Amino acid sequence: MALRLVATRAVFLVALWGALVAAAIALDATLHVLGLAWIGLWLGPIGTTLILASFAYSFRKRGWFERGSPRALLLVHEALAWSGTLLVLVHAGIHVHALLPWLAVVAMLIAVASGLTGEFLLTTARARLSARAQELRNAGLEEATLQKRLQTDALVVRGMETWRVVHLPIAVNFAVLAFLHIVTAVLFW
Amino acid sequence: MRRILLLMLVLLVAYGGLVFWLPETTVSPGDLVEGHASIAASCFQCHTAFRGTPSEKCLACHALAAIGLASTTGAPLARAERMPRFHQALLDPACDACHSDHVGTGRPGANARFTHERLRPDVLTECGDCHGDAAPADDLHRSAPKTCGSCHRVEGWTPATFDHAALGATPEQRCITCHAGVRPGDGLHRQAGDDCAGCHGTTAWKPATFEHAKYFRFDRHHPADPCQSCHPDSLDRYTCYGCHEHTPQGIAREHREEGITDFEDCARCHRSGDEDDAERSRPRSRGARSRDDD
Repeated sequence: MALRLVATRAVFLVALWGALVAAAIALDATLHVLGLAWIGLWLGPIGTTLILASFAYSFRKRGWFERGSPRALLLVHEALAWSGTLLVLVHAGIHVHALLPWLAVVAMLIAVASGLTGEFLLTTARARLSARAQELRNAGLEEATLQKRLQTDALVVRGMETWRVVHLPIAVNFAVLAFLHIVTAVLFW
Repeated sequence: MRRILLLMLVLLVAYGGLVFWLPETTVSPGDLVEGHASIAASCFQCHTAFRGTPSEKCLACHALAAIGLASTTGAPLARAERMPRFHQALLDPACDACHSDHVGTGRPGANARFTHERLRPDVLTECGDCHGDAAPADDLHRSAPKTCGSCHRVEGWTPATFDHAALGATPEQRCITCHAGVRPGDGLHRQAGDDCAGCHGTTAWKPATFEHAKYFRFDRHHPADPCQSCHPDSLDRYTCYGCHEHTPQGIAREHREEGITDFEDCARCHRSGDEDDAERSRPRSRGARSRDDD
């Protein structure tokens, strides 16, 4: 049961990643066919704004504000980050020549992959813990014994939650590169 | 939080340093065109921070009056004779409106980005100044007036809006000169000769305005094909004496018996093979009598 959940989740996340790349190529090709490739220039700022807006979840997690449930904000974070990344990919198109924007694009893709990986690890670990607890309850174990048995699994879940320790520097790396790209693009307008 | 800020600072310094150290590699959108290769490392020779590439910086080296005539060092250009000198006729010499000196940016070349709206109105009618004798060497363009603007627009040579009136006083007579290849091969058109304008207008082949029934309705004794039965010489003339039924002597006798003396233009009264039509429509000669007078 747990294995099927893990597999389903993994397939979903890979599909989400593939859909991002496919959608970016399709949108970019459509703009070129319609002679509207210039729109790509302006998709960069729009995509960046969406990505910045997605950070609301991070600020909520750190208690910078109290409104909204973290769970709902996580979904919004994922949706905005995915959409923003899509628009920035179309913005990048195939015209990137300089190293800095290339690095920013690669850092962005790594950040998205890292986010999806963290989400996958956390969701599957929680699901496995929940399934294991149910299994032990069904076997008639007392709550105290059950908690003891689950301690290792719970540690795994907590370990997975620390993925953000990896994800955060990756996101910061992308943010710095994106910032420098924007500054230099405006500087040499 | 402090760690994050520290990480940001470190990355900012590292990447920022890379940008300052290798600006061409890190931020340039492509190599410069050959003529500007020597200033590739001097970004601010053309760029002004946050203001783009003001034309004044270009014009500081490329004097507007000399563009197309001489190089920046004053040496005459070999191609000066064949280069149109439209730069001097621009409403606003905004160089970056057409030129992008970084190759590899995916932007179209200067020619593709140029629009005639950038030119002063007084030079817009002087197409030949830039385009020379660019007209194709076909019959149409040989006959057409030399003012390109009467057919073409500045957005492109095509689509052109050709007006036959521009050809001269009697364009009808010239249709076949250009349109011989599109004449249908059916019996009517084979026999119609070269007078296209007898049936067709100058804006489109269809609808054709000619209606034979207005002059004479066909029937099984008077079929449409062949035209030469009634029009042996040309379509604007006809005769009813082309068959055994009607002979000049017989027709004259019959009409004189009716008191009709003006009977040369048969179709004036006879709009079909039905003789009753003529009874209803024929104008009578002075003193003529009808059958009812008998």
